[in-house]
Amino acid sequence: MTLRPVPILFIGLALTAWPVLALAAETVAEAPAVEKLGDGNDGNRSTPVHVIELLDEKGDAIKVDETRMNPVSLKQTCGKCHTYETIAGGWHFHAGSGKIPSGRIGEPWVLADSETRTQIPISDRRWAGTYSPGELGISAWQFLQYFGSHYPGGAYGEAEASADDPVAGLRGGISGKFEINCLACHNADSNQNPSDAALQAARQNYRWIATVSSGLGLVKGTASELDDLYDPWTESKIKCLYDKGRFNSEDKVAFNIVRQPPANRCYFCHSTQDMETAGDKEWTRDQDVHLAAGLTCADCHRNSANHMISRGDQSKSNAGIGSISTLSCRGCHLGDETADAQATRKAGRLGAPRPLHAGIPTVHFNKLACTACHSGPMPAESTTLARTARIHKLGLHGKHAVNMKLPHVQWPVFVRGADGLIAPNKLMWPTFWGTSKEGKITPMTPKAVKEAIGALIKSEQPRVNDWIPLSTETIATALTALSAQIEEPKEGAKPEVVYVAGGKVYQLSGEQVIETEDPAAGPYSWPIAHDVRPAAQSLGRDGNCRDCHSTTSPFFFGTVTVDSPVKPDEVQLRKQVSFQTISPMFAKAFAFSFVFRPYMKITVILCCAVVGAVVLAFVLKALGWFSHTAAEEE
Amino acid sequence: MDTLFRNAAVVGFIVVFGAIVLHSLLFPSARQCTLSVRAILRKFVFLLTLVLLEQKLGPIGRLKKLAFLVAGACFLVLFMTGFGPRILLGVPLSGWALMIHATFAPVFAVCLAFLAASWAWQCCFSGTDWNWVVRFFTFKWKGILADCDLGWKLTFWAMIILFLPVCLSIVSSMFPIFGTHGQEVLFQIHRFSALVLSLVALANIYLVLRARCKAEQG
Repeated sequence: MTLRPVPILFIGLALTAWPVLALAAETVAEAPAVEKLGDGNDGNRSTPVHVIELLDEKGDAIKVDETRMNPVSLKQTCGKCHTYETIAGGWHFHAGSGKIPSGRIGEPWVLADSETRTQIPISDRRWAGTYSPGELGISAWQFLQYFGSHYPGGAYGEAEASADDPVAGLRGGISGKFEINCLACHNADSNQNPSDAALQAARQNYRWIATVSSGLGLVKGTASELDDLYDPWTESKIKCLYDKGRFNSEDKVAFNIVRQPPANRCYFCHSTQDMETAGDKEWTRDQDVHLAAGLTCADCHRNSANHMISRGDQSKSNAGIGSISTLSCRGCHLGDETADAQATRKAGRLGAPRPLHAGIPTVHFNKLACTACHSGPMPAESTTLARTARIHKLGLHGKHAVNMKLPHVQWPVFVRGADGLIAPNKLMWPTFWGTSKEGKITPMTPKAVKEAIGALIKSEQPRVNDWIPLSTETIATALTALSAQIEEPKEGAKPEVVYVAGGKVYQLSGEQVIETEDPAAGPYSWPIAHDVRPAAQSLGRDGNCRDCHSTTSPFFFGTVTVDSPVKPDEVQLRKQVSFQTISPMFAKAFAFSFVFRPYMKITVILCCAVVGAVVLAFVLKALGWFSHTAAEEE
Repeated sequence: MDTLFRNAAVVGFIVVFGAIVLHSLLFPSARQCTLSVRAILRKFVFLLTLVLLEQKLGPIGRLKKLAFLVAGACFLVLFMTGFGPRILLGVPLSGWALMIHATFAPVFAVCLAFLAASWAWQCCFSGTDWNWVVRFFTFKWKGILADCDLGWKLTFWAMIILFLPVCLSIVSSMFPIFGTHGQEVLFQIHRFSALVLSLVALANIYLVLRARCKAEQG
């Protein structure tokens, strides 16, 4: 049965003219969610003013004259007009919620620890090379502790603790749910402070995150320091101190809500730092050419109420929603003949200039992603290290700021992707202790490793925020000890203990450690989309083939470090071409052929000149003959 | 366009080979010099061994012979690498085949330029050819296809003229002059003109061999 929209509260003066919708007469289990006031769009492009009543997680209004003011719950407050469940299905929020789309391969969460020499790519999107939190035995509660600083809320943040995890049950009751923090993106107020959100996440003050980070108030107290039996509804060891000046006489608060999140909001979780220009050189870096031209992230990365933001991918993940399919490099700059709307079939969307690509043979467009020539740092003789906001927890200020060296992420590495196109990637080498059974390697978390063999692999050095060298002798000792701790299963063979690093699997053979190559130990890489460089700085500009086709070009022959804590003095390097499924010999020979390319052009042009001259000479001769014959006939 | 090219190539080769077979059947050359498989092979062996045997030709003649043989070998390589992947495998020219193609192309160009310059005089049209044209346009067609020198001369000049778009289209695409659309057009010009050049070259070889038979008979 189809349900009609529900009558809704008026939200601020600007919304008073909105139509009052009919109340649904009945509800049906499993029926589609009832459309709320904020789910649709009446076509008015102005942003509705949000002067709204704040609700706590029980749905009660927060009044300024109350002695105890609870933290705001955005699930309740925003959910009054926007269907929270619909939003929760978006890319940012649905991780860990069971059946989720994989989408194009992307940046994972990375569990890194220098003491155990670990860096594990984690994702529950089933991307090849990543491990799901479940595989590692990481509960939702633990996931938030590892990655809460840049977590947008929802899914793991709202998961119910399992019965066999009493700690998560007890602590979750104190900390509350880590709801989707709508304001993290949509609050354009300059007081919106994601670093404060990260601080509250570190303190396990999950239910207070939105209140503090939006600048509505302060929170005194740390949930992680409270005892397990603390009752947040009756006790007052955590106090929420609102900025009461923000409440009007009707206990409503004005928010500077925008439909399109400003780039600054996106940057908090989606920044990349090039370690070559880190620190006091950071100001020398240019931003993405699109931002410099006045666009913002959300101009291309759009979404409807379901928050399935278009990822700029010209393949599957954009398809299906009419003009959205053109919100990719090719779509805007070249048009998309398969798009629904006539206008978007043509190039030039959002004012995108149509590229000339003068002198670039069209075969390149079948073999390379647009980003190969246009995005990321210019390829150099060797890759450099990069840090990303989510992996390295960038953007945290104050005493909870960190300066993570691990994991080592390299860029740009030119890798052939699943779509068959070569694109610049960020790349890391998974490094971890784990078990191998029937060919499947399962990592162990740093916590589990420390408990099992922490003493054996502990370094004498003071705490190091980077790789601590690991000798093969130590690996042998640790693997032996680890193996001894694994119980024989009732059925099947006992799993073999392994250490994975630098693309190799180290395992015991008797008392010796042997190292083998294994695809499971291979690098994990994900495509770089931004920063896009100006056209003038793209590879091959002005027909300069030698940007890539020379025997020393970084695109093919630049080096990528095989990063490993094992034997760090014997650094192994791999050529870029080895990630492109191209024969290195062919790449070299092809590049070498470009040495002769100018001579070939000259030779062929000279030959054409000779042939042209011959043709011209005999055409003139023929004309002469014709003239002579015509004269004789007369 | 790829399908069109593939179909055009297949049809073109069938038509040209068919026309050659039909022509040789309808207008067989003299008994002593039939265009049997054995005779054609004998001709090729003769041509190939010319570079190894003592030559009675002068320096330019030897160069012509050498250029002809090298051009023939290059043509074979370019033909196979250029048409093979698309027609036989349905894939674009790339990888090692592309490199081989690009390596032999300038050699072929040099040889053809030399042959153009050195053979042009021989292939110059004469009064006899003019008479043939007059016969053709006055509908005096009896025996017109049996004995004619115009065919190999025409195909020679067609080859020489087609050489220009084949070469210039691909060389100009290597300069930063033409954009994506231009590149695509140049590429299509290259491969379609190369297809026509190949068909004309096959016809030329047949007609030259016929003419040689006729000359030997005479």
